[in-house]
Amino acid sequence: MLKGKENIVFILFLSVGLILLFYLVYNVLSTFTDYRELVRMFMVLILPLPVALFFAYVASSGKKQEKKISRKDIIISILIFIGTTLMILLAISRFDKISNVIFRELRILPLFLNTVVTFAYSINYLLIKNLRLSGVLSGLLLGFAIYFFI
Amino acid sequence: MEKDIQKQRERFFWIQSGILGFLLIVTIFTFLAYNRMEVEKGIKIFFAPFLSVVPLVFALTIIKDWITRFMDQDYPRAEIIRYSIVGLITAAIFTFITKMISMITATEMLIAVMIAIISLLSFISIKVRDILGMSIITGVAEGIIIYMVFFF
Repeated sequence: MLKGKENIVFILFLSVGLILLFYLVYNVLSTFTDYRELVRMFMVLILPLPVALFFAYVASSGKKQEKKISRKDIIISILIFIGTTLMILLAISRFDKISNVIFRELRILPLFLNTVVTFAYSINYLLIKNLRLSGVLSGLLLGFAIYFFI
Repeated sequence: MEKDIQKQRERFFWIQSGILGFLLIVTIFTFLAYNRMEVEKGIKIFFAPFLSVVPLVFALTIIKDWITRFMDQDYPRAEIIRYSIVGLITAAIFTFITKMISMITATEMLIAVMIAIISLLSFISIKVRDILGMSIITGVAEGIIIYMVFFF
């Protein structure tokens, strides 16, 4: 089903998302204070699953349609990817300066964003296959990873 | 090729209803553990589940024709948008219903209400097996998750 170089890029970005997910889950589990937070973390982890199954139900089809990808599309998607990475880093640093809570110390909100983006990336790759949407989502994943690990 | 799509859709439907059942059980245990529950009469807990299981069995024996329409073609765009709106409305309704349930303080009332909801949803997932049932099940699951994440 998957083949060629696009497979490598997909696995690379998905592994970035999954490593970040494990890190954030460990972050919540190591110092959780309340039973309520544990339930909330579990619910956040399975939040996008019903919607994903609904879309898979609607969009499953036997025909495999193959589109031709032109060079212009690839250049536009790479530009969108770089722009989204810079934008998300800028937005998080602004958020840290303006509000009096730090984004790194929040527990549930980064987990929520990361889960939704990871699921959306894999759904886009398996079902929709839109190149620009894939650029936006991988830019978001890389931006979160740079913020949290560096 | 056409039977493949129907099989795929049926499999997705069953996975979705399994997830919903799991979610409902987690919700029951959370409410029982977190809220402070009172038991007025012990014998009431024994009788509470039968209140809604008996009508479910009655309805399952009377209604004989099953709706099974797992389509073997692509859905048109208008139909997808219509059923997504149905799912959104169901999610909004179930957010409020879960909020109402979390206010209950008597154990037997909680058990009766939750088993009524479980039997209603199992009726839908056994008898109405097409895109309408799928959108309703998705909406219920999302409503419960949204209440638990943002308002609990």
